Amino acid sequence: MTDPLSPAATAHEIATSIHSRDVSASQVVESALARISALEPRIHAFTHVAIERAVARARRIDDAIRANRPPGRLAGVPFAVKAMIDVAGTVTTAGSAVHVDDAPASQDADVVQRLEHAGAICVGALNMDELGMGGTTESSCFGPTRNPHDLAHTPGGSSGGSAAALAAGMVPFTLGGDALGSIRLPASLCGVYGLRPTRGTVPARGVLGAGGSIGTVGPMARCVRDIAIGHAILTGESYRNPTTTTSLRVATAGGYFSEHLDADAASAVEAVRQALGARDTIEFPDPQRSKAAAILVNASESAVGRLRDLRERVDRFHPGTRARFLAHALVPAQWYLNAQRYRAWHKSQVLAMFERVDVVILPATPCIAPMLGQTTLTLAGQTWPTGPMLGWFTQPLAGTDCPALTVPIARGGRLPVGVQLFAAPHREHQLFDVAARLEALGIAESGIAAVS
Amino acid sequence: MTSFDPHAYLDACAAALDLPIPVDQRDAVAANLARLELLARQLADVELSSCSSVESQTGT
Repeated sequence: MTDPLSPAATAHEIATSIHSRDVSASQVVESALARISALEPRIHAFTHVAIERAVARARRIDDAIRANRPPGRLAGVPFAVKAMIDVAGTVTTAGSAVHVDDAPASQDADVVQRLEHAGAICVGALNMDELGMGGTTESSCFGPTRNPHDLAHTPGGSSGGSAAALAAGMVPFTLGGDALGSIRLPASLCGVYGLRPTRGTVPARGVLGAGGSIGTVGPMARCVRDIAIGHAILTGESYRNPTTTTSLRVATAGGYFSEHLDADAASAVEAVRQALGARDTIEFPDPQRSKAAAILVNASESAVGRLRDLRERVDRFHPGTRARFLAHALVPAQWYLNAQRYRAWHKSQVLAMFERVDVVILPATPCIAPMLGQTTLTLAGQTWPTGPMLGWFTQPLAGTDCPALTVPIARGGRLPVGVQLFAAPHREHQLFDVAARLEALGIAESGIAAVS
Repeated sequence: MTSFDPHAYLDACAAALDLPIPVDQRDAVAANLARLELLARQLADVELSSCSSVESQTGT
């Protein structure tokens, strides 16, 4: 087992070592805080580090262990959350200057409470695109987060801090938020696992902007087992070990999902397809329109409750998102309602697809991480704006409410890229079983970046 | 769908909502609206099968 004080230690390895008293929660937290302190100036994954809170919480876990009280499944595991999630005593900024002067959260979000009830220790808040609006974590009022695998590159977004903190080995477990791809996209570009759970299964209380109909909080980690444990804790479902022997019908998505991706992304999909023996190709129903519907719904919902901010302090919005929020506030009801109507119909078509297949393999991103500040991507000879193109393969799934897991593909030290696995609602266990098989075969791998 | 003039729509709608649009943002907001309108257009005329089940999902 990995040294529990090593940055490569996974959440379940740390918890096992703490349960067996090989290491204390205080030692683990001190080690994580030291690594955060050392790397943060270069990566900028955090918007706030809750040192006193984490140290105090670690002492309580150690006290519980000394007193032979059950410390919880994730005892002593440091974790951090996307800055849209309430952490008591910390301002919930969502990466926006609009919120930096808000009062600190008076209590933890339900998702933080659930993780800490299981013994985990929140060490802070993580950087993100302003109010979740972006795919590169460059629109944060705190400045951009850098990809630990190459600091000149973006970690993706909007949960860029959540992915970068994992890839750098700062913490073994984080929470992100995903509307159009904000967990799956940075997971791909940072080489970590990221789950968008079945929508509605993870509590949204204490999550800024959670009132929309598309987004959800989800777990991010460096192994499948940690994702499965985190998912069980967040949803309150029973934990079941991922197994590599399950027989499932797996197919690769064709058409739209086999175009507009570069050789890195295509070879990642092909490696997964071959490893799983997935001979069948399946057509995902009408991805262009499902993407359009998800973008319209998310755009309109992103402006809900923002009119006062847009009227009175529009200059506080990031220059890169200001015009978008203003436009989103003006989306006519007919566009929104028609998109929701289409979305409901599309979801029925996707559920019908799952009568023929259990798990679908799709690209997560069309390429590896672009450079920070890079405004365009060239794919298949065409040039595209970076932000929208990075979400090309995550957005069509967003309105379906179905779970999707980004799996990092082993690439021998080259910049990471992931693959999405997609299943019917409440079938996360199927995603975990397929991912566990890929992990066991060495196809999926999440390594710690050697930050230079 | 009739042709969409994002600047005209923007001016009318922003006035109705009492939402001032900074002069330096006007073209960018209009460009965003034009992009969203293209997406809305993709969904405007699509024939949906099994519409009765759809209505039941979107109703309250």
